[in-house]
Amino acid sequence: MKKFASILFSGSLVLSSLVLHGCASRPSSENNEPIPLLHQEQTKTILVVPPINASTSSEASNYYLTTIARPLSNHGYYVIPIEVTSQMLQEAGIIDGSQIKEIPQQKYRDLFGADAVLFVKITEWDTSYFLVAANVRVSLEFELISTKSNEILWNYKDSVIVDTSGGNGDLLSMVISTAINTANTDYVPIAMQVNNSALRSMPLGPYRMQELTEESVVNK
Amino acid sequence: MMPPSGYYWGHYSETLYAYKKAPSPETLKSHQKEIEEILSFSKQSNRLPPPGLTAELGQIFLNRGDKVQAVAYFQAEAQHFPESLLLMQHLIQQVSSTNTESKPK
Repeated sequence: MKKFASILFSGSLVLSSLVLHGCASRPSSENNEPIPLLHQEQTKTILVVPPINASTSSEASNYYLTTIARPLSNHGYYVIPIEVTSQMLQEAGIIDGSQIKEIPQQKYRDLFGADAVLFVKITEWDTSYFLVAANVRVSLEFELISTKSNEILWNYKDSVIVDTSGGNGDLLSMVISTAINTANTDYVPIAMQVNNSALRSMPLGPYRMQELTEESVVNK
Repeated sequence: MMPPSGYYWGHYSETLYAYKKAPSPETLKSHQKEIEEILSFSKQSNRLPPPGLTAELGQIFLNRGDKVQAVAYFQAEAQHFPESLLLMQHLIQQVSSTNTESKPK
């Protein structure tokens, strides 16, 4: 996989001189609803790169990546195997999405066959403590960028805050229960919630549509 | 009978997370086992396996030095999902180029 790393780097230098222009006007459907750019470009294949980690947790990226393949695939896209690409990128020294944000998007098409690249910025993956309460927060910003046009195909940001304070007895038992609940609170299920609410705003991908069509045909 | 629709993911996210949280031969083994079960269930129930999981299993074998199994799984991923062909071909090429010195045909 080392060879791959050198291709990635040398290629990025060559391609950095390439400037791609997005189109200004967008076609619309009959009822004047704009056709999502995602569908216009027939986006099928998504590469999820390592997140841009702006949180205080060093593990956030690694853990976050376990949550996204499933909902994104179920949404109808082919998600390029994240564990495979993450290892390749890691061997090329890339562990944070910010390191490759500037690489021309075309590169991801040539090397991975990606129609679009999903950048996730983790802005919060933290717990704030108060005496008898704690808030666990996960805040994410999503940006899906086309490898064809360099345009932003979809973006979204959201956060979920879980209050882990528990009990309403005496002060000491409240402090203890807050500590226990917070220790048991996993960020991952919270990140999954953020993913789900984010994906509700993303147009469905072709695999999802195929599934529904097949089903409705057979059920007739 | 209703045609099966959607992917079957089993406990994929959970075993992967358990492995990330505490990487060890045991947690990797149980993640591998989970993927294998997901793939065989998908096959039995006539579903497409979840995208990427077949390739991920290939990578687990590759990391362990089992190139034959790795290539087989990379090929299977490309068969299920033609979108992955470019990357899978690339992986297979790399595996076979390192293969030639140790195992000449």
